[in-house]
Amino acid sequence: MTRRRLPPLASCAAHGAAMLACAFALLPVLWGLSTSFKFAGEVHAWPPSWLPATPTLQNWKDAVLDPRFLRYVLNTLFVVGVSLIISITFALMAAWATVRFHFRGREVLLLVMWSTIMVPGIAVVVPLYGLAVDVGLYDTLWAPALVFSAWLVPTLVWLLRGFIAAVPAELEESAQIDGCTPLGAFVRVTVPLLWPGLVAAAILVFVMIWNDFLIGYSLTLSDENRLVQVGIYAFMTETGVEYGPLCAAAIASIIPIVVLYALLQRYFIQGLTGGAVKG
Amino acid sequence: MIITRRAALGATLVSPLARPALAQGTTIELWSFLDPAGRGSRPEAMAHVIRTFEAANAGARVRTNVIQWTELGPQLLRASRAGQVPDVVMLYSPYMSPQIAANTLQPLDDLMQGWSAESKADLITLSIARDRQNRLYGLPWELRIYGLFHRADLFQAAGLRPPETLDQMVEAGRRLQQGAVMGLGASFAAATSTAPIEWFLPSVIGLGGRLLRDDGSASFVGPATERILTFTHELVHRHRILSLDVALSPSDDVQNIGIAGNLAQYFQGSHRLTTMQERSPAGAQWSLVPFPAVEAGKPTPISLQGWNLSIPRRARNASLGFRFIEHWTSAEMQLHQAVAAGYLPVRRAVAKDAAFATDQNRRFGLTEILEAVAQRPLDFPWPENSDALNDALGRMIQQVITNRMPVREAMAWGERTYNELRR
Repeated sequence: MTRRRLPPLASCAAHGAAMLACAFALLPVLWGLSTSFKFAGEVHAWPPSWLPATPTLQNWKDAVLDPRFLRYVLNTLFVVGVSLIISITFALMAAWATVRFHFRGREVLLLVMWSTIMVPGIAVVVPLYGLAVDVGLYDTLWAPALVFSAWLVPTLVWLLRGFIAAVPAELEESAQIDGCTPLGAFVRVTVPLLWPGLVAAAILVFVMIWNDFLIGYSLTLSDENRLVQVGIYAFMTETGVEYGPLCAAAIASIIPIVVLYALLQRYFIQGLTGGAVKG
Repeated sequence: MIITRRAALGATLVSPLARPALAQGTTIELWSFLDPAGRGSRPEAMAHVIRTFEAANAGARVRTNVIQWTELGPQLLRASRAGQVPDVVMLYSPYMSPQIAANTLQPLDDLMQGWSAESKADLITLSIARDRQNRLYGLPWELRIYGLFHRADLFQAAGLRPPETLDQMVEAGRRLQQGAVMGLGASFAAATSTAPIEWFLPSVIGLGGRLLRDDGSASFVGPATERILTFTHELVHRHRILSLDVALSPSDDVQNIGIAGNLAQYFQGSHRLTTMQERSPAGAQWSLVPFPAVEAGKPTPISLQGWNLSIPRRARNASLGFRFIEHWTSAEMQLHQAVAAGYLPVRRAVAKDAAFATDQNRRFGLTEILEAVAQRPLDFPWPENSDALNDALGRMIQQVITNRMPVREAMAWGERTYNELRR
């Protein structure tokens, strides 16, 4: 595909629009970064200062170097890890089954599965809490991990179906002729070709869980089991919001996502667009 | 009955001696909104309480679970259903009633039976922490009132005294309103501010209004409500010392304007005085007086609130938990945290102690506040859901200050709103 060169005026307008969009997205983050280096008195100063007059690392020390923050991060990584394994395994199986096998009720099954994506979390959080209490998982990291796993499967099925459909079924059939079982053929032949889709799915799982507040807040209680976004909430104190440490913790919490996305953005874009047009 | 500090201190110190020794390694779990490992005078004062408790009770340990302050009540409700309650929980007084109604707390009366009459009488308890049978479910470890924060330096420079009446408050606001400095800050954003029940309600009650009938339904329509609503409208539109933007902003944002040095006076709770002094460049210039009277010689009653220490039902170690509560509410600890962190003490003897009545505390208005509380406490039949009352009053005030409704219409609307909310 050849790229059409834009006329100078249109090019300027396009670049201008892109820069505006970037500024719109980045300004709050940059403002938060600046705030994280300010003393409390300067945070609320009027007129506001774009850059800290006397930068301090105290907010970062208070928020990010606190051992509890590290624990929140590790807790969240544990939940991400468990959810990744469970949700991608189930989603792969479900996507494969619905692409390769034709059975009665398949379309209805997919429709029902996808319709669950539209159910807002707040609508199911009370039953989920009750369930977690009844099965003895309340205030354990397994509770959010299992809920996220179940919650993300329909989205991942939708994402992965396109990739599986793009792999010719003949490849799996060849493997079966060579002695593989249908599942063995899928795992050995098709799954290795799904990397862009799997990476996109993994990023999606990571971002959704990392940014979650509702489930983490509702299903865990003690400090030992707190997730990162719930931990940040503690900076909204009884005597006012501690903006300095809050911003330091918030900025620190987005670093893993930014790094992950920067490293894998090629797969992510490829994965999302691929899944959107095929299947 | 006059109770000396020494007697109260003696009573609270001697009582633990009569108790059996602890099993080694006993740990109690405390749910707190304050982190004893945090920085600042308040966390440090709490750390001192825990440290001295552990030193005085060999083998005892306090494990603190820090929970965001607005979530302590909801989390306790959830934990009670799950059977995973702590041994001691902090609950803010307006949130005691729902917990009592939900039967999540143990009455403390039996545990207090060993207390001397002197010690009991010395401790200030809050009526909102009692049920209809007058059983007590929480002992406060600190007290606070809502009042008028003001910048002493600005008042002094203008030759003004702290306002004692609303007219004086308006006059001060007009004279001090210059450049970026606004004359008055007050938040009536119902969801994020308690000014409707902390200022508006006592002002109406002080004028002889009722606000609630005996059956608990709203009785907003009346001359007292009308007068305070009209005054609130005038603050924004006639006197112009309270900006509409500020009045509709969340309470924390109004405080931030004060921290930035752009308020001469504003409505806030005494518990935030230390925070203001620590965070604001104006520092110790921030002082507090009780809310000004609507009319000279007719002072506004003072609403006393505070954080309580309660023991949940099914707590594993209730007796040690209560011993911790006793320790925190002892005269010694109360004096320490009052001096170190500016808390209003829950023991009357401490309030009279020379160590508390320092020049500094007098200057900040803390000693005068305690005297004022004793003289004119707010006597109000708090409903189980005080949030609904705050919400209805706040929304009624908003209708008026935004000129959406005239005062009389807003009163009737507010009444209907509260009656619907309380159902």
